[in-house]
Amino acid sequence: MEAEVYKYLAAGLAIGLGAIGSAIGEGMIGSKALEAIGRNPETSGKITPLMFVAMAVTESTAIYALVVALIILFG
Amino acid sequence: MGLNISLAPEVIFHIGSFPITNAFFVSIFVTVIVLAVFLLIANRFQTVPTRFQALVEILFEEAFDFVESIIGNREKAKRIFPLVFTMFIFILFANLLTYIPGQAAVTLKTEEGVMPLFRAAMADYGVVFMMTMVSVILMQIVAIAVHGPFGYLGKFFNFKGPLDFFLGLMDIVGEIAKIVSLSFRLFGNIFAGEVLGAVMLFLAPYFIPLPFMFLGLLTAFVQAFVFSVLTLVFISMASTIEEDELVEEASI
Amino acid sequence: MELINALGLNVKILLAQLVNFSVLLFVLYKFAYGPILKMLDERRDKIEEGIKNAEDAKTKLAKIEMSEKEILSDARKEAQKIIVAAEDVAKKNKEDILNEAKKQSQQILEKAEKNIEQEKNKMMEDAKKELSELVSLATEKIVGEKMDAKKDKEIIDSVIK
Repeated sequence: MEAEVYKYLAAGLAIGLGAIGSAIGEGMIGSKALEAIGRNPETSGKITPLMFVAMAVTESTAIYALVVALIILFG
Repeated sequence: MGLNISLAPEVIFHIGSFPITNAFFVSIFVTVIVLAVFLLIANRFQTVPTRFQALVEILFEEAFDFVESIIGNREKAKRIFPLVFTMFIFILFANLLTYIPGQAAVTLKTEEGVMPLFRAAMADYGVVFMMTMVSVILMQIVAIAVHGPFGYLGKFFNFKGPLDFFLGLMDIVGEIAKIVSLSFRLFGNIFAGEVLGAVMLFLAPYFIPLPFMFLGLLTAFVQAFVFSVLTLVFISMASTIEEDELVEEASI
Repeated sequence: MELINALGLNVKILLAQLVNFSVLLFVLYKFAYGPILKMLDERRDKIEEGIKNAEDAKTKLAKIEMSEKEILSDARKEAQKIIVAAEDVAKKNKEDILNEAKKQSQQILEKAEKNIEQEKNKMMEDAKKELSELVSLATEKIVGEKMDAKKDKEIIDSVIK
């Protein structure tokens, strides 16, 4: 019973702490992209897809955390 | 607990010894829908477009121009466009299908219990893994075709120095990490969206889940876009010859 | 490995999914993308051609307009030249004519003066002649007898002078 509890705790911590970095990163990407669009509105068509791709790459860290959490929970 | 979250898709019935999961069922369903829609559009295509056709054309044109702008070459873009666009459309339709109201209520009673007939196809790791493997294997094929088999292996096993050797090994890890990150990004997002939706519905059935559903719609589109664009970017990276490599070839 | 089970990965289903996706890709490639992209390409070519034609026509029109303007300005210049030349010629002609007229009038005047002079001289001579005869006649009558013609003449001449 004790081990089970720690497992859940570990999974929650893994995804929770892992998500912090990518959350900050994505926020920065979004704010910078919006800033760029605000400064130069004509380029929004080019910036938006790039922003999404950059966000997806940044998200990788959180994804790894998710994988680890899943491994802890189900593995 | 009334929540019913399962990581794996549920098996709804067997054909012989072949298990049919609900995710597999849905992906076939999506395939049929996509085929029907696109064949209908393609058959009705005329030179002078109707309004709907113009919409589809804009979608195609924009998508193709986007592919061309990333891969930087019209001929290459023509080759890679079908795969990338099919991935995009398939993922998009599969994601959007979950937002058709009422389908979550369709359940099936089997020996193992009551289970939903429809499940977000991308919340099944199998489908995502299959598509990821397609794109990763294609990347390796493109890389081998462009660099030649020895150039390809030379990238991973580099004996010029300890640092180069280590970086080569790290490249192998990078290729494997591509599989994990590409597949789990899509799977994680959609699965998390499903879980989030289920939890919100469980906690507060009315109105409160709506903003999350909007967010989910955005995710549905963005993840389809990201998956196909990352595939495209990786393939275009594999298909370009780096400059120092050109210098190396010239010096030989 | 338990994770694979937990994720529900199954080789059979994976293969089935792959086949499913391949069929989708193949059918779409064969029957949707091919025709649609071909049509879009054709339309793009057509539009490009149209735009090119329109641009050609535009440049041609501009050229024609330019040449028209050039011709017009040339013609204007020419006309100006002609007018200036005509004016010059007219001025010259006028001067010539004036000069000629002056000359002629001068000549006529001179001629007239000469004529008058001649006439005057002639008249004077005639008058002198007649006067001398008259005087001789009168003297003859008065004197009653004819003097020596020679002497007579001498006397008259001296008187008249």
